[in-house]
Amino acid sequence: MSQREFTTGAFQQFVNEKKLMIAKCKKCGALYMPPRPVCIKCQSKEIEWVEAKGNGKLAAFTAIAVGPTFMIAEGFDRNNLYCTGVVQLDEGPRVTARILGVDTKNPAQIKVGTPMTVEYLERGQGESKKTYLAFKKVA
Amino acid sequence: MNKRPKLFRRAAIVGAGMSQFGSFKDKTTRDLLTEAFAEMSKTVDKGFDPKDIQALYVANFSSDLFEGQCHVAVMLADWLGMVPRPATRIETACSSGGVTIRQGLLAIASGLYDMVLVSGTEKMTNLPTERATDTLAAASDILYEAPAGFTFPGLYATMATAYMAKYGAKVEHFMKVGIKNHNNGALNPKAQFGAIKDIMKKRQAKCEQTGQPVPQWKEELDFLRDNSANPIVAWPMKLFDCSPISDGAACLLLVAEELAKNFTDRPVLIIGTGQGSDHALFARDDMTTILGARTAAKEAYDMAGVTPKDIKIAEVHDCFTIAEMVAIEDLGFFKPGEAMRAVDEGLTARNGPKPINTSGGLKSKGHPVGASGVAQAVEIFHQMRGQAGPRQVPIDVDLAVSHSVGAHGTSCGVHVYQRGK
Amino acid sequence: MELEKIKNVAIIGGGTMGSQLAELFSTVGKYSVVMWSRREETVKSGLGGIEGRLKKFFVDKGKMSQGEMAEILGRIKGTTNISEAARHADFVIESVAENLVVKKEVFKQLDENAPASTILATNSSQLNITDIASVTRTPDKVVGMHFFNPVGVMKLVEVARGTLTSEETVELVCALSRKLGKEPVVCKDFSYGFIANRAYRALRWEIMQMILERVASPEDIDKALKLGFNLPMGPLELGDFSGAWKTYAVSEADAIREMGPEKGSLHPLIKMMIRAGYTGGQGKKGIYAFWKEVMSKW
Repeated sequence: MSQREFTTGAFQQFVNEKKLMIAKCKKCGALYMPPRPVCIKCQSKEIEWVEAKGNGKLAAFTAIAVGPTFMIAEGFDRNNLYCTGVVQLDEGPRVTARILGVDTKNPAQIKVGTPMTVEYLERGQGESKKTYLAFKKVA
Repeated sequence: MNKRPKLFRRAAIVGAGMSQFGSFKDKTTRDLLTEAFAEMSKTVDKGFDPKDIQALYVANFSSDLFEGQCHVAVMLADWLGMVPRPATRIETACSSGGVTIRQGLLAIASGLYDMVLVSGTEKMTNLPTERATDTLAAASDILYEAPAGFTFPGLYATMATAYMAKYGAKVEHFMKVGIKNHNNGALNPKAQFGAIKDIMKKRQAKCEQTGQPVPQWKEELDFLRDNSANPIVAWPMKLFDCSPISDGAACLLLVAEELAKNFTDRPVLIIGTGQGSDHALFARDDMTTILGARTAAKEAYDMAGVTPKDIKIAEVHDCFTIAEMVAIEDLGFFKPGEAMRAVDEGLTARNGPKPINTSGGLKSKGHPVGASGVAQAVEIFHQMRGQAGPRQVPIDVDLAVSHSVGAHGTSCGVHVYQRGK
Repeated sequence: MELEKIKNVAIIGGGTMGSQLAELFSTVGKYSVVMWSRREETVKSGLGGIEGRLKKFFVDKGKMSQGEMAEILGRIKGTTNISEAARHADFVIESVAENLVVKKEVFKQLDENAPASTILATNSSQLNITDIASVTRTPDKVVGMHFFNPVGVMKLVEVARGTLTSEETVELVCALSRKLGKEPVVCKDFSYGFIANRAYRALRWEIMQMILERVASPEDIDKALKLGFNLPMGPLELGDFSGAWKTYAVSEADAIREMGPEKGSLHPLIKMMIRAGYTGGQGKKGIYAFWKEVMSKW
């Protein structure tokens, strides 16, 4: 696990394995998600993978009624909104993901700061199966 | 390394024009720019010879995806009769216009050219809405934002919820920005949309005519709160919080400062330019501000030797209503979190102390992506020379700013203008 | 801003005072603290200083568990990015160099980055609050909150009210001081040295004159004051320890501007000491050594 290069592909591989991984700079401690092979704070190339616990808080969000074609294909529209947003992990970095477990009929009731925990959404079968990051409201 | 960038030679705008902005089935980017060029030519007080234009700069986001036309700058050069002179397209998403002004300015500042044409053009309405949404989403982070289902309205809506959580803003604050800009747009013959009050009244009239129950809206906020008239696009951004999909073009005739008097006694000087970049939304330290915009603004203000207090009017990038609130804070006109007060107290209205988007902004004027940043300078040109007609602000405009943002803030071009003597 | 609404605190400056303030706001105040300094080394040494003090004075003495220390340290973050520190802060306290130009530059950046409702306090011991506030758009939120060294021990906080500081801001800072276990005293900002330092400066000037007149040695003067007025430390040995003579010399121009040439000018004995290198401060010689090594030869 720790030998993987710090690329988008590697990050997605981890997501497929249901792992949320942070790239940490060994020199200055800066944390990156998605991963970077070079630390932009101190220019060090000494990076290591650290697994995130998957817990965080909702930092910002939106409930979308008019989505891109691939979301329309999943059945979301003006009468069936989906929520997507930014979650701040307990470890520090922020990540974009689908937000589940919230009432998209009442977006004004969704609160920034709500505790979230990671979930993995799978779409497609076999060769075309893809895993996407999502966070679910902690009950 | 050079810590204080400066211009060795400044440039002046001696002519500025734009096409009608709107939805035009039969017009292409070539037709739109030709129209803008004709409008611009009328504004050059002492006339000019188009053969003296040495280069063409074109701001265009994606003629490639919208029209299937890559390499659009040279097509436009041909249409304007500029072959064999050089033509270049600049693309930084929605800030293409602002960044193209900078490129034209740099060309003159370098001493290479004395006169260039800075233009912006976009044709968007030939694609159905979903395809246009997909095309625009290509300017976001396609690896880490798009897969989560983000759209442009979605990204700005997320900025809005972050702003609401941090400062306690309400959806009505966003609505008020839209109302103001539409009121300004109603006075702009080139704008795509007019006042929200008029749109509201027309709907009520139509219901009466067709025998349907007439909605009881008394004022604009009632209309905007009504989800059936103003549907959610990406909460809290509703239809009337989003700038439209539009066709249009704009252009500026830029000459070296020392030559301006050959064309007009009332040039508009560009005395400061700034450009910045930023992380994708989730990676920003604070989602309620755009670092790239603050960086660009600082560079432009420093170069111009002015502070935000000195600026009389500004054309800012209100692709969504929340964007205007963030913009007036990023430009230093108001402190972080104060944009709500500015909106509530009418401080940025046309007859207020700090008029913002007197043209109607992107919201009401329209947002043909590449053209918007250039059209901002067109408005400033008119306001500085007292030629904005019913939109003319009552204060004396000697200094102004244009603020052009790309995507959800990942790029930004800011310019400071001064009325020439 | 209200006391209950304060969650995030920014400490601007990672030196002696800045680092101690970060420690106080996290330990007693239990706030989320961001400590800023211009240089990375200062941030590192500031944070290291906090850990060192917690260990030496609390954990090693059995007054605090390792877990509690980790919790306190976990609430403190360091940064060299002032925008990052100010943008999320509900309360800011500045403690950079005691120099008006430097402080005004810092406050300009705070004005650009901090939300309109944020309180902007300064730990300045002498400089005029109204002047500092003049570079901000929220002078009602600018106030003096002067702590004494060492912060962990000294109970006094001088709350200096600028001409445009609002009543709410003054009340909030007093309440905050009490919450941090301190005793606030409110004063006007046009008193150079506010209360304690202004009075003490006058005392020191008179003592310096007494030394020049050979009334008694530094040791005896300190002893008389300690026994006669119950001071825990004499003004001269304290001056040597803290390097007060250097501070007076460096801020002479400020003092003359604020108090006039008669009261503001350096006492001739201090001028002589500074010129000869007897400045006081860590590891440096002061009045005690000057009396023994130099004045004995006159």
